[in-house]
Amino acid sequence: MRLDNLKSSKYSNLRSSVVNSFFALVFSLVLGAVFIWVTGYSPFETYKAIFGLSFSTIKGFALTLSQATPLMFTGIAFALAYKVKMINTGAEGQLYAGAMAAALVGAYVTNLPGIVHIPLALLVAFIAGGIIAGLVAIARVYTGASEIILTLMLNNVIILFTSYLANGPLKPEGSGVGQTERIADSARLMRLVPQTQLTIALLIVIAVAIIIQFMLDRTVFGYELKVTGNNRRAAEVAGINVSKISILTFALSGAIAGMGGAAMVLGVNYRFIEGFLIRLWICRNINSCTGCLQPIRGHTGCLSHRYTEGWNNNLEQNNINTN
Amino acid sequence: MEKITKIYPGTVALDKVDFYLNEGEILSLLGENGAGKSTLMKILYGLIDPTSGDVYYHGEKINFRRPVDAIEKGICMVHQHFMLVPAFTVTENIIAGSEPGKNGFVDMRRARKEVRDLISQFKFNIDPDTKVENLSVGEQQRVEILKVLYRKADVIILDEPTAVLTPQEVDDLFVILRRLRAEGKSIIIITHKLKETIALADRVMILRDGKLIRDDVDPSKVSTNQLSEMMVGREVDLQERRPAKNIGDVSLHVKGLTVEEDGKKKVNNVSFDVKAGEILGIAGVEGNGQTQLIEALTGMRRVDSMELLLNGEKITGTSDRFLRAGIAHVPEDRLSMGLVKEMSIKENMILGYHREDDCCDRRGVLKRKEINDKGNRLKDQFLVKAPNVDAKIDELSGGNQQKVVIARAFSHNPKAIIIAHPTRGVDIGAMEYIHQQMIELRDKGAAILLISADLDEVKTLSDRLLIMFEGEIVSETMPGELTDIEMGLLMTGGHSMIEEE
Repeated sequence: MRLDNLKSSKYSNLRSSVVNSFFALVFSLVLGAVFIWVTGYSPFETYKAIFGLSFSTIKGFALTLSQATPLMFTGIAFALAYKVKMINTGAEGQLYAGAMAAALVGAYVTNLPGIVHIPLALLVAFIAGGIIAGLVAIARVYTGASEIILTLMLNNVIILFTSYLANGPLKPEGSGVGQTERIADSARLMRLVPQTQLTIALLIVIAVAIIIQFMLDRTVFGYELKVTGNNRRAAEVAGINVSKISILTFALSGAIAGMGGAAMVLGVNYRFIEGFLIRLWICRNINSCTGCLQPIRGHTGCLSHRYTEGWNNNLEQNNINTN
Repeated sequence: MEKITKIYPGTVALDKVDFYLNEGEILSLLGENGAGKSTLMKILYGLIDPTSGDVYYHGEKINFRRPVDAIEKGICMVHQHFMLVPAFTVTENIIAGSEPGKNGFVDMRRARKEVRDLISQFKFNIDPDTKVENLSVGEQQRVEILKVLYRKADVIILDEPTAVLTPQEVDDLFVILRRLRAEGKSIIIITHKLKETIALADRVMILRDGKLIRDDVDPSKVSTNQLSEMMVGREVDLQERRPAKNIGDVSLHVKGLTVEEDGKKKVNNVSFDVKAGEILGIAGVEGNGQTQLIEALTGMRRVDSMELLLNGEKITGTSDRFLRAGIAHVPEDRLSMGLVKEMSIKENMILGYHREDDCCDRRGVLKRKEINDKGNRLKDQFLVKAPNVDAKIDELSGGNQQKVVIARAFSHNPKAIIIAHPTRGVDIGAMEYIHQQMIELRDKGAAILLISADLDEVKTLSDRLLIMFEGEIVSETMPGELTDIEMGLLMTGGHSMIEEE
């Protein structure tokens, strides 16, 4: 007899996720203000400096968006895996793998036009992330190993392995830091705003979110995925191959995270740099939770998260002293 | 409670219902699923607000905003699904939420003494220091009742208290409830089991479609048939047999089915045929291999040996293969196996058949309009009560959930169908409807295998009757050949005795 709110539920969900993100933002602002105040600085001045950059200038806003982009990829990745009730704590490792893969294609596959080079690099990153996550999912489905532990451990393995590559065999001559060869110009993502790091990666991630949402809502695969995630046993009764669905979904989750790494390499750093995103690792997974585990809604969470997480960078990078 | 009305968008759940409860009586609140029993009780308990109407308690007008308010006044509810912490002891569970003591420390000695006193006062026969996980279902229910007594309840509402109990435990519960009545407590039981109502209640109140039908029925003066008529609004006869007229050739042929599990033969060399246009019933106490049998016949598990022919064609493989071959399945537990409760009616209506051409195109994109139309058509055809096909399954009553499962399986014109416990936990109206649909499907020529723990159901519907005990078929008879007592003996392994007689 619980019949209320049937019609409006779709919209009220969306609204509540926006409201959630908003409150998360406000809460972190308030908490941040307390800490800033305790350390003897003026919260007001600090926030003015932060938001002055992020909002008042196009450059600042573009920077915020560009920094949020990889988080959007990993947010979608986490949310998608959770649709089959699997937890992808390995988005970071998959992102690194994708970044390295894209850096290799970008630097060593040359003489291609951009229209081929960029998709190729993205595709290889997609496959790299997908293979890693897919192997984890296979272990999970056939041996019952925890995908949470496996991906967490793999994160270290992959990050250290990419560091080894960047410091060893792939290190350009004369380079002082661990990084790979610069990618070819044809592999660079086009900029949306001149002289900023905001590139078409933003459009790509939005497209990915729309495609995933379409897949979930409108395709047989998405339908079977939802049935599997919500009720495995009913899925089996209905003749759905739950192992296949779980493995494919988790691999797709990893593949999307891999694309996030490619977006950083092709759009921001133009090469793989050792430890380029290491400080943000666990936050990326959590922030997608604030978006109610829906790929599209994940974005609102990512953005608000990115604002808070990114201040630190803003402040450091621009040498703003609030004192 | 006077003139209680509760309106949900699209439905009037309660229409000016008056309700009263005397001190020291057991009131049975009868009604089909969706009649408004639970809504009325939730209003009394403060879980939801009425749209209009007033609640009085001991002559005083009250307005409970939360269950805590009701508990303070001594109105408590024992829910159908127990809310106990398995790893805690009985005492810990009872005091949880209203622990004695101060300064944040629990006075365990006082708590234990109080619980002990309660147990001996009502002769509950429970050790207050055992962990709840070691208790039987009946004992756990007693802990729930102790919980409300500990909170000094004077009015106790029990929601479907016997649904999970064995017959012996039901008797024990009734003894306890009568004892509580003798102590001056007032008890409301929400139920749709008529025999129990007649055995226990002092007064019966009947709701139908949100309206009060009677609130002064004396259970000693009515029969179960009269009660069910009042509940449903028309005559109901669940005992009428309608034997098959056109039994055809063998449709489903099963030979030498053996399933081993944990080194034991759960199903041992079982063979049978189901003919087109026939219902073959399998009766038996649960846990005698029925689950394994069903899983084998629907392709859900690997078998150690089986030859299964459907209209002469051998079928092997996964559940997908069996479904596509035309063996439909109404699983034994609708919520854990048959439906996805988080998803909508229309999405559940296509489950298992979602790869067929009327649901998706060749690229694997779902046809939304067709699925919507199909959902609406089946919802109307199978009388699923819901505001629309976008409603989630867990917003429906058990009977309507089962109708969704039935609609899905029956509408695909299966050649054969395995139906397990089709009316478990559904109300009389839905039960009658589902039986009717099964007979209609049979008369259309389907071979039906009915597995049920409900002896009355198997006896009424089956055209031929098997009894299963410890993984073997121990008897094959025509319905009516055996008395209930003989069937009971066969089901519990006494078959050798009958043969000797």
